[in-house]
Amino acid sequence: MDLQEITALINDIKTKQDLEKVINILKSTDNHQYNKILDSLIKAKEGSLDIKDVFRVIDELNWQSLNDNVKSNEQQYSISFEIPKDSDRELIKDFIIESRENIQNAEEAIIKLESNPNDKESINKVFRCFHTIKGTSSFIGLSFISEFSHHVENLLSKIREGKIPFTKKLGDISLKSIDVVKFLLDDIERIISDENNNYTVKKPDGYDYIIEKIKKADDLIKDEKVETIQNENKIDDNQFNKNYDEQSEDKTIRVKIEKLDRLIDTIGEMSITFSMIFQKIEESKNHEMIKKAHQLEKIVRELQELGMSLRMVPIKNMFNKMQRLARDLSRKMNKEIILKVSGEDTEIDRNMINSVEEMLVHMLRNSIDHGIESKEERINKGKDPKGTINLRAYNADGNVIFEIEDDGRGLNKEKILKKAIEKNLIDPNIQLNENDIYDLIFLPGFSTAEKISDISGRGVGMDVVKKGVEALRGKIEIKTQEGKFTLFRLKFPLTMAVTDGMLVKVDDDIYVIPVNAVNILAKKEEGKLYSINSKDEVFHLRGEVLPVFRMRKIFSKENKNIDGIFVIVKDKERKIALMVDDVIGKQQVVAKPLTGIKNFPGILGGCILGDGRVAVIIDPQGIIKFYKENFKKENVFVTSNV
Amino acid sequence: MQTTQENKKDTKRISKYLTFFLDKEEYGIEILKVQEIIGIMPITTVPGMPAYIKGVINLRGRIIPVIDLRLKLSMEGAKFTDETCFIVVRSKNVSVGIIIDRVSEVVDISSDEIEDSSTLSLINSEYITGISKNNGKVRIILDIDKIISNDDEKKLKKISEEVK
Repeated sequence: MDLQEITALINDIKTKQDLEKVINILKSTDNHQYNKILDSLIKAKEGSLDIKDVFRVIDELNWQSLNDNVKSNEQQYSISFEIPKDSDRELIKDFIIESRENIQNAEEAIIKLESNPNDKESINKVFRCFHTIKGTSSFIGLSFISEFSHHVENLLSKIREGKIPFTKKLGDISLKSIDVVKFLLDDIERIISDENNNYTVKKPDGYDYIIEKIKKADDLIKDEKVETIQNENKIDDNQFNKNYDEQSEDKTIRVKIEKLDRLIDTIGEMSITFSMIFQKIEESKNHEMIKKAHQLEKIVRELQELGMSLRMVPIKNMFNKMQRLARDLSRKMNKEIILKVSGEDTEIDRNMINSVEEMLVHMLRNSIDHGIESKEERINKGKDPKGTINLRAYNADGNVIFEIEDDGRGLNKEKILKKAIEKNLIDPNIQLNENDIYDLIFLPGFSTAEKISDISGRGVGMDVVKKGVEALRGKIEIKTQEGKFTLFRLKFPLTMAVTDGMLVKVDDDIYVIPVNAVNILAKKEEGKLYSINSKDEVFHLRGEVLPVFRMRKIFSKENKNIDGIFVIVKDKERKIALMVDDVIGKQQVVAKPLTGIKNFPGILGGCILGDGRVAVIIDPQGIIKFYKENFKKENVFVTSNV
Repeated sequence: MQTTQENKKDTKRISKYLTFFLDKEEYGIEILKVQEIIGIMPITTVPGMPAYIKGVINLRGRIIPVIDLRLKLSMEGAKFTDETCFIVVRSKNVSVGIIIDRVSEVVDISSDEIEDSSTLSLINSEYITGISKNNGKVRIILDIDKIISNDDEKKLKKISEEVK
């Protein structure tokens, strides 16, 4: 009896008696491998476990046995490779960079192939990539890579020539071989960057297993149903060569990231210094000079824009990784999921890409694990058994927007609310509106998944995403309809670098408030100021009552009762009035983090003003949050003892 | 611990130290940690910081924090004179300016001339590596990593890890 049969049995369970029967059958097999399944079935009988989760246990076993298979095959071969001692490090480094790109392209193409096995262009692409890796690696003496790629190439060329069709299993093998090459590249990179290393690369899991499998590729596909049309797979060699040439024509050069960063920093410094000089020149009233200076100003601005554009990279690679992740996870979860991506050419700041990727990975996992229902559940609900997840990226209003939308079970308001109260995350007496309830999933320690799986649901989750989004000065929104869909929308500023800032004066210091956070400005005369408990103040402005924060008080300045200007800032529904001494003007500033010092919630970072002085950038949302937390506790806004 | 000290004695590692004054005492820090010495420049105060962090400055386009070393070592806060300057030190990729009263000199100090501060139980040795006696001068050798890393950095790290 194998796992498949057991799965089928469990699938057929409809009543308690059925369940009993399966338990007895499993007991009679007396195979200790299935103990885990047996345990979970008994738990299901007792009602402490959902029958769905039994499948999860089976999946795990499936996975394990696959890995065991790979490992037991390893042992008969050597366990490591040697990099030739006289290798040229620089050459190897270049090879690694180049191969990573190739591998990424290949991975993308394989995933495309899986949905469309007749896609000639994709199979050519995979072939080309492995061909290049093989060629270069044998040239620089990394024979273990060239040998491996040789085998993979063989397999691919069979597919390319139409001798064998591209099947699901071959897809698995190809992806697994990509993982092997990735692993080898990582290892080699680590080894050559360390002078003292002994130049031995550990053989990755699956190296020999894959070669074996490829040799027997014909057996592998024998028992798979073949739906491809063989003749169409034949390709035109001219076409192949043409594409190959085109690719190598790519006119780009590689530049070290540090160099790029320094260039951008230097441009920033230059423009600041220039604006200082520019001021002096304008004061000098020397027309000749002023004319020249204006010319220079244009050039500086162009240079600045160019510098900014250098930081932008397309998110294509990131989306490719998502494809792979979705594929692997949906297999593991035994769900059929189509991931549709759009907007791969959208560009974002290079410094943001890693954090954004982490967030999307997190959310994609959530969608696959919690969002999309199991096949059975979907069929019962009359939905397409295949789940669809849409991953979109686009630009709008100077922001980059990412959307991840699944057509799964949606969020359940009551369940969320119940959970939040259960976990003591909110006060049960407070009335929350719909959006507020959905926002509860962003609270630390909140997780509605009943079972902990290794895919998601450890109770750290959306709060991490939220924090990450906030760190990038972004916003996150949820749209959902129960039983229909869940949509998460992440909105980020185009770049972390430039912020439109409003310069305000508090005491003798100048602070910057990001313009996008400012709702309106108001003078005291436009509304009415009331004091409450002789401690707090509210500002009544056009029918709205806004809590007042005197910036002097928050920043522990001398508390002269100057009635300055109210800057009304908004955070979703809540508005507050920040009172500053004066508003000086608007300026584009380059936001920089304040490294080396503690984070104060109301501070976003620092920037350098035209005269060379540093100004602190205020984070109004941080102040609102700070206010909310403190207000809840003691109904008093604590300021001086922060 | 002991073996490392013996090793030090054997090899007599000589390092260069930058020395400076706070009040009447002379202090030294390893010169390898020193990035540069700059004159006083306008400091922007940052709200919500502990008193010893005076604020931030613009160091050629980079924003770095400035610490009043006197306050950090529980002395009276710095008074700015013509001789006051900032030493920019670098530790674990973080640059920090420290305010000192007066720069003195650069000296070679052999490791065996530095007395372990733990034997001097009277002194609050949290930020002190040891006391050096050399050419008849007594200098307090500071552990700059501890001064600028401290718990603040740990907190910062924690925050960034949480974000990850």
